[in-house]
Amino acid sequence: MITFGRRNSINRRTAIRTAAGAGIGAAAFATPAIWRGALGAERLVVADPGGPYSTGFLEAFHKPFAQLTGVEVVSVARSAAPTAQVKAMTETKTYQWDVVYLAFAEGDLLGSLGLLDTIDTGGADYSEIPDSLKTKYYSATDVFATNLAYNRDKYKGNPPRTWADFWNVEKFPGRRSLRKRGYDTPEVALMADGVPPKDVYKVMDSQAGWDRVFKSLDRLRKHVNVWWDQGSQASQLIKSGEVDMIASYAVRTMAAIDDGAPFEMAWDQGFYDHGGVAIVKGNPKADLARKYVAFTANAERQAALTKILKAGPSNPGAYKHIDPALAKVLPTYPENFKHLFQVDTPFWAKWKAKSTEMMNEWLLKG
Amino acid sequence: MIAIPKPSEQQRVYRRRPEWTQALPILPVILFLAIVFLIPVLQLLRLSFLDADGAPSLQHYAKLFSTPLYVRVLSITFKVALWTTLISLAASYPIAYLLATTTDRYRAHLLLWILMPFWTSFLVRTFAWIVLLGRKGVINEVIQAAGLSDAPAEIIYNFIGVMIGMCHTLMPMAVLAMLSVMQNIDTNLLKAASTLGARGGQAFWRVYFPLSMPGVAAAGLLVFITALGFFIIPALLGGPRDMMIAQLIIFQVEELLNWGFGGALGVLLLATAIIVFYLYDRMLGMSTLAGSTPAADRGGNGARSPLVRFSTWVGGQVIAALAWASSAMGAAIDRVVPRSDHRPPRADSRIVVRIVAGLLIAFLAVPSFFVIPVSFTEGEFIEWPPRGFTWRWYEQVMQSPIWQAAMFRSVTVGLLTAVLSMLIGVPAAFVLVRRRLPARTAIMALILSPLIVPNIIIAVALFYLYARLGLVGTSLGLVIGHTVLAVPFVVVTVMAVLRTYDERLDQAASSLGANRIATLRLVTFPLIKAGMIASFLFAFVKSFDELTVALFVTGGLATTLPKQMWADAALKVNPTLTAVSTIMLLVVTGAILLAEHLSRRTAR
Repeated sequence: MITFGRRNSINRRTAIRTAAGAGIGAAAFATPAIWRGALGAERLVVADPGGPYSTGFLEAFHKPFAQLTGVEVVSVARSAAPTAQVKAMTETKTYQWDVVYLAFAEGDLLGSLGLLDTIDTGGADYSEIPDSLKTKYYSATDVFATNLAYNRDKYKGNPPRTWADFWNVEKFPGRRSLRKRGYDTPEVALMADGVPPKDVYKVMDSQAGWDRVFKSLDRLRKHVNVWWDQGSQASQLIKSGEVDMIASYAVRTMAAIDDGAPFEMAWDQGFYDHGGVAIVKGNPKADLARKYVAFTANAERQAALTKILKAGPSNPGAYKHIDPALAKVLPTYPENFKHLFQVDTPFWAKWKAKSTEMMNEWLLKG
Repeated sequence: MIAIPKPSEQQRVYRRRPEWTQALPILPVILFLAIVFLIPVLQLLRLSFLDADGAPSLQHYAKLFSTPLYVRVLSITFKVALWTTLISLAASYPIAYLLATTTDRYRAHLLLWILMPFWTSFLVRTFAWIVLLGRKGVINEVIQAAGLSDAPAEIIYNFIGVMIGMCHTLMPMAVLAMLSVMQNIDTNLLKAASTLGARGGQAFWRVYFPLSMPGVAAAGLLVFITALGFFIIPALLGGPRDMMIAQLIIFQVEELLNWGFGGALGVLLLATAIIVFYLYDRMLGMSTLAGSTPAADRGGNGARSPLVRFSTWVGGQVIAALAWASSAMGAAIDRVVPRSDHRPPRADSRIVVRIVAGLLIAFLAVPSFFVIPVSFTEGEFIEWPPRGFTWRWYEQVMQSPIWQAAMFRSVTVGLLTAVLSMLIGVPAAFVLVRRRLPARTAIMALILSPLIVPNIIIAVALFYLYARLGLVGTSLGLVIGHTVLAVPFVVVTVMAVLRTYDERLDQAASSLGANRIATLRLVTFPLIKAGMIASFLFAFVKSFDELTVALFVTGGLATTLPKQMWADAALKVNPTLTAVSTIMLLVVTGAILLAEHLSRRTAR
C-alpha cells in the first residue's frame, strides 16, 4: 500500500495555505471547486459515467432528493472503471465523491477489499429489489443486457436468433462484430458451441472449458470483421451499417435504433449485469449518502430514470409507472427478462485476470 | 569556417561566474520532476516489487516473463511506435521544408491548416476517422463512385487504420519540431552550393538535409516516445492484433486493482524505452539532437566511440547515395523532357514539393473540416452525410454553463501549463545544450520519462501526493500535473533549435556591451522564436487534450473540456462534441489570426 500520511479531509484553509505557499495569488484557483459551496447547504457528490447517466440521475434522483431533503446533489464524471480512484480516495481519506456509480463487478471487488461503506438495508424500497441485484455495499439502479443485435433489413423474415446462428456463416452471411475482451465474448462462444446458458459458468470453470471457448472462437475468427473495444464504438458500428450482426449492450444498441438504425435485438441467450450506487468508505457524509442510496431504490424514481437511460429498472415495481411501449425494449421487462441469465460476478472475480490474458493471447495468434 | 577562436577558449575570457553556477538553471526542472513525478511514481512502482501482503517479492516479474503475452505486446507497441515515427517523419519533412522555404506570410497561413488537428479533441478526431474510413465511409464512397474498386477498401480495423490515426495525431508535432530547426538554416548556403556546381538534388542532400537533422531527430524522439503510450487510437481504429502495452497496464490498474502487476508492466515499458533512448543517444542522440554545439563537436577530443564513428560513416554514405540518386534522376528527367534555357532547375523540384506537401497538409486538415458540417446534423450520431440542418448542438453547448466553464478552464489551464513548462523547460534546454553536465543522459531520461510512464500511473501517483498537499480538486494541481507531461516537449524542442544556434552570436553581443538579459532579449530569443512558439503550442495542446490526469485530479464541477467530452460520450459519441470542436477550431484559429494581424501592424 502506498500511504503518504493520513489527513482527515481537505479543508478550505489548507488549500489556501498551499496556494499561498506555491506563490499563486488567486486563492480561489487552488480551492477545490466542489468544496467551495459546501459552507452553505449540505451537498452530496455523486460520480457517474456521464451522458444519459448524468441527465437521467439528475432528473430521476438528484432533483427529487434535493426537494425532499434540501440537500443539493451534484453529478460528477468518472473514468470508465473508477475502482482505482475509489481506492486512492479511501486510502488518502480525500473524498472527491460521496456516492459512486459502479458496475456490479466493481462494487463486488471494492466491497471485498473493504473500500466501500455499508448501505442502509432496512428500507422498504430496498427490500423490493431482487436479492441478486444488491449487496450490503451496493444497490442496483439499472440492469443492462448483452444480446444479439442484427440488421432487420438484411435478415428479413429469417433473422439470427441464437449465438449458434451468429456462428452459422452459411445460413446467415454478413459482417460480424464481437467484443475483444476476456469476458462477455467467452460466454457467447460457449453458447454458440452448444452449451446451454445455465451451464456456461460451470463449463468455463476449468481449463478444458476454456479450451472449448477458444476452439469455438477459432471457428468464427476469420468471419469477425470488427472487434469492438469501447461501448460507444458498438453504437457507431450499428448506426453506420459497418456490420450486420453484433454482440453488444442492449442500451448501446437502443441508442442507435432510436436514431433510425434498422436493427433489432434477439433476447434469447442474452445475459445481464447491473450497475448501481455505493458509498466510498470512511466518508464523513456516509449517513446522508445512505439516505440517497436508499432513495434510488424507489420504484417510481427508477421508472423516471428509464425515460432518459434505456436500461432496466432493478425494482420490478417500476414497470407500473413505465409506458408499455418503452417497457418492451427494457432488459428487465418480464417478456425479455425471462430469456436472460445473470453474469456470474464471483466467477469473474476468480477468472477475469486469467481470461483476459488468454483472450489477448488468442487475439494475437490470429 | 573562418578561424574564430573556439567557444571553449573564448568563454574563459568573458565569463566571470564559476563553472558550476552556469548549470544552475537546470535545477528547477530536476527538482520539479523529482517532487511531483519521480518520487510519487517510484512509490507506486515500488508495489511491483512486493507481493499481496507487502513482503518483498519478484512474483510480478516472474509472471511477466513467464507469460509470453506481455513481451509480445511490448514488441507490438514498439513496432507500432517505430512505424508511426518513420511514416510521420517522412510525411512531415516535405511539409516542414515547404514551410521553411516559403514567405513568412504564406507560412503563417499554412501553419493554421497544419495546427488544425490540435484543436479538435482526440475523441472527435478518432470518431471522425471511423466515419471517414469505414466500409460505408466517405473515402470508400468516393473510391467506389469513381469506379476505382468494386469492393470497399479495408482501411480501418487493421494496421493501416492505426497508422492513419496515429500519424495524423502526431504529424503536426513533427512538422513544428522540424520547422523550428529548418527556419534557422541559412538558404544562402544552398545558393553557395549551387554556385560551387551542386545540382539542386546534390545541394539539398549534402547541405540542407544534414543541417535539418537536429529537427528530424527531435521530431523522431518526440513522436516515438509519445506513440509508445498511445492506446485509444489502436483500440478503436486497429484490428485485434494491434494491442498496446498501455491498455494492458490500464486494465491491471483500473479493472483488476492489481497495482503491483500493472506497475511491473510500467517498469518493463519504462526500462525498455530508456534502453532504446540510451542506444539512440549513443548512436545519434547527443550529436544530432542536442549534445554539444557544432563547434565543440568538431573540436572535441578524439575519444568518440567506434559505434558513433560507424553510425556517422553510415549516415554520410546514405546521404551521398541519396544525393547521387536524386541528381541522376534529375539528369534522366532532363533527357526525357529537354530543359528550356529560361527554366531554372529548382523550379520543377519546387512544384513537386508543393504538390506533395499540399496533399499531406490536406490529410492533416480534412478531419477538422469534416467535423464542421457534421456538427449541424439532425441525427444523434457523428455520421456522413449529415442529415438536415440544425443549430441544436450549438444551442446545447451555448446554453450549458458546464460546457462554457469547461472550455474556459481548459484554455486557462492550458495557457498556465504552457507558461510554467516554458519557465522551467527553456533554461534546462539551454544548460543541456551548452554546458558540460555530469550524468546528462540520466537527466534527459528523467525529463523524457513522463512521456513514457502511462498517464494512469502518473494520475494515481499524483492523487496520493496531492491528497497530502491538499491539491486534489484544484486547478493548480491540474496545471502542475499537466506541466509534468508538457515539459519534455518544451525541453526537446528548444534543445533542437539551440543545436543549430551559433553561440558565438551571443558572445558577439556580449563583446559589444550587451548584458546577459539584453543578449537574451535582443539576440537569442528572436533567433529561436520559432522553437519557443512551437514548444509553447506543444505544452498547451498536451494540457488541452489530456483526460486521465484531469479525471483523477480535478474534483467534480471543475471539469475540463476533454473530461466533459468524455462524460458526454458515455453511450455514444454525439454531435455535441463536433459542435464544441468546431467552436474551438474557430476560436483558436481566430485568435492566431488576430495575434498575427496585430503583430504585423506593430511591426509596421
